[in-house]
Amino acid sequence: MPRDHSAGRLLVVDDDSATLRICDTLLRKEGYRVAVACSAAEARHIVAVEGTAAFAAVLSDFRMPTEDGLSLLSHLRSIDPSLSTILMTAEGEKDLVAQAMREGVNSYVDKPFAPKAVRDAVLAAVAATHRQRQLRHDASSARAVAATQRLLLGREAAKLGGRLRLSSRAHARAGGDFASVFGLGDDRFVVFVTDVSGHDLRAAYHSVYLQGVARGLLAEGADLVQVFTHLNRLLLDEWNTRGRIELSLAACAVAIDLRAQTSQLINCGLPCPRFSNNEGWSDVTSENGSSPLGWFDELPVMVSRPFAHGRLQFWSDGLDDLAERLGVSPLALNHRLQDEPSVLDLLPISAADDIIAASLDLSPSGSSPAGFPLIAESYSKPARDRIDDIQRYYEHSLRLALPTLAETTMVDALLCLREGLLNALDHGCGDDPAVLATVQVAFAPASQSLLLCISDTGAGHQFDLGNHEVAAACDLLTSHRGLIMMKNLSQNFTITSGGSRVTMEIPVALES
Amino acid sequence: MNSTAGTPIASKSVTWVSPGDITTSTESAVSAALERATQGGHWDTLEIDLRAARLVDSKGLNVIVSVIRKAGERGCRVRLVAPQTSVRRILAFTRIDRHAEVVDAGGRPV
Repeated sequence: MPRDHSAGRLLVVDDDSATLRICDTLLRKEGYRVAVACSAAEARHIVAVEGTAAFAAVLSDFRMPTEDGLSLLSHLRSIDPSLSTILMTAEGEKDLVAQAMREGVNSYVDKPFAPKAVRDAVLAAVAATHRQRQLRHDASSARAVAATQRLLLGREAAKLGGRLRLSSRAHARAGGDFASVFGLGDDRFVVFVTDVSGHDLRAAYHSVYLQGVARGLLAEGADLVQVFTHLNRLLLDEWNTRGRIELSLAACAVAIDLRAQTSQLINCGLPCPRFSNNEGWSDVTSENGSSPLGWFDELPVMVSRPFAHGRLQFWSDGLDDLAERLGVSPLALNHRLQDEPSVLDLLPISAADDIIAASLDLSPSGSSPAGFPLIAESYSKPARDRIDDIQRYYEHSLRLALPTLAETTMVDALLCLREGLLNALDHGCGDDPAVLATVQVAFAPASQSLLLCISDTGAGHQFDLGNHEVAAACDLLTSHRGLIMMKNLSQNFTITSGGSRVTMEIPVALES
Repeated sequence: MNSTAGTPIASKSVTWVSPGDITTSTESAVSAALERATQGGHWDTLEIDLRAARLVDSKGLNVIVSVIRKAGERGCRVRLVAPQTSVRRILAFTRIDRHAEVVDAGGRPV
């Protein structure tokens, strides 16, 4: 009984008219529509006129005058890789079959052929063509979605002028990480960054759907807590019923009032947002973690803060994950991403997840923070044993953030960081594991310098570095040489907080 | 630590080649290697080749200073081969260059 192959038109090519007639009859009985050609040239002509999309598979004899079947099929696949091809060969031509497979021919049929062999080969070839064309269609749709996401992100960021910098990269062509800027009138805005579970077209759809829900609620006057509460309930009641988590949403929202110069922040499940001050010293906005929406009833508390010289920075866990695998600071990766989003194409490791990163300037109007944070890490005494690894981490981070940093600047910075951290661990932390040493590095573009800050929570101790330096140089004293090095390798070297906080500036030389 | 220890380059000179950075992580090994290099024999100049040292931190400097002091006590001198600007700068501001001769890779004073 003929099957319904109405979607599959076949092209059969053979210089032997008897074979053409047999194939034509056999395949029409199977329900296919069939076009025949008695040479490669005629087949090329038919395809040129009707297009490859008109055919679901091409079946061609190998031995034909002027142009053989393998050459024809290779040509057709070069035009349309989704078009499946079958080569008819004389029985036993194993080398030819191997070559045909290498060149992308889907299958072969030995001549003289059995009808069943032809039917099976054609059926599989047609199915493969349909699969390939569906994939191509899906990929095209994904590209279109991704282009829309990029377009929307650009528009969203522009709503806040230079205050907001957004960078995003989908693991697939389109993904579940997204950001919106909702204008609420009277210079009030909400920046809403979301990371939906999954990183495919479905995640992209979920992300935009949930962003749309938030947009509607905000337009109706809901505040951030109400929006997050509603989204949480929606996910718990409509998606994650019967104890199974189908969909979760990590989200961070910042409401800013440019006139009142205030901000409110709530974060559910994204890595903890960080605030960096005017110098670029960065700190987390909360010590507590939080769960994504759709897991539990409880929500974290919203944090309010007045504007201050500085930047609020937040990103999805894809950035943390990539930074960890690269062995660099997430702040450094974020900085480079903001400057050059295409850097992800140049990295030795690919992102395993969608990435979205945002940097929001919360400075009062007319001013911008001087420093961009690159490194902010805290350590306790045992970190001393890992000092070489830590130094490498700093070097990789600085190299990523500022790829043209000159070697002299790099060495100076590494020495200062190493000396500063060892000094803080040895003298500040003592043996108390609760006492931490913190290392901060920021880049100040205006002054083209690296800003370094090493501090500890220990008691500190005072001594006269100036006098000591002179004596150390004359008498080759070995004590406090680290401080002397930091003072001389940097500019604006200061010691404050009873000796427990050291800041310095290293002029940046860049290689061309 | 790998090093070229105790290789006479002239009748009264000994050279020691640092295989890499001289820091808190390598100071013990460097001290031991320098000790071996300068043990025994008669020499009046110890040459410390720092061409492979990208970083010399404060502990590394202390190792070098200790050697300079010991050499001084026995009436000998130390020559530091330091082609890198950053290392030379450190030797300058710590005034170690006043207690030891600092030369570039070609042996020229810097």
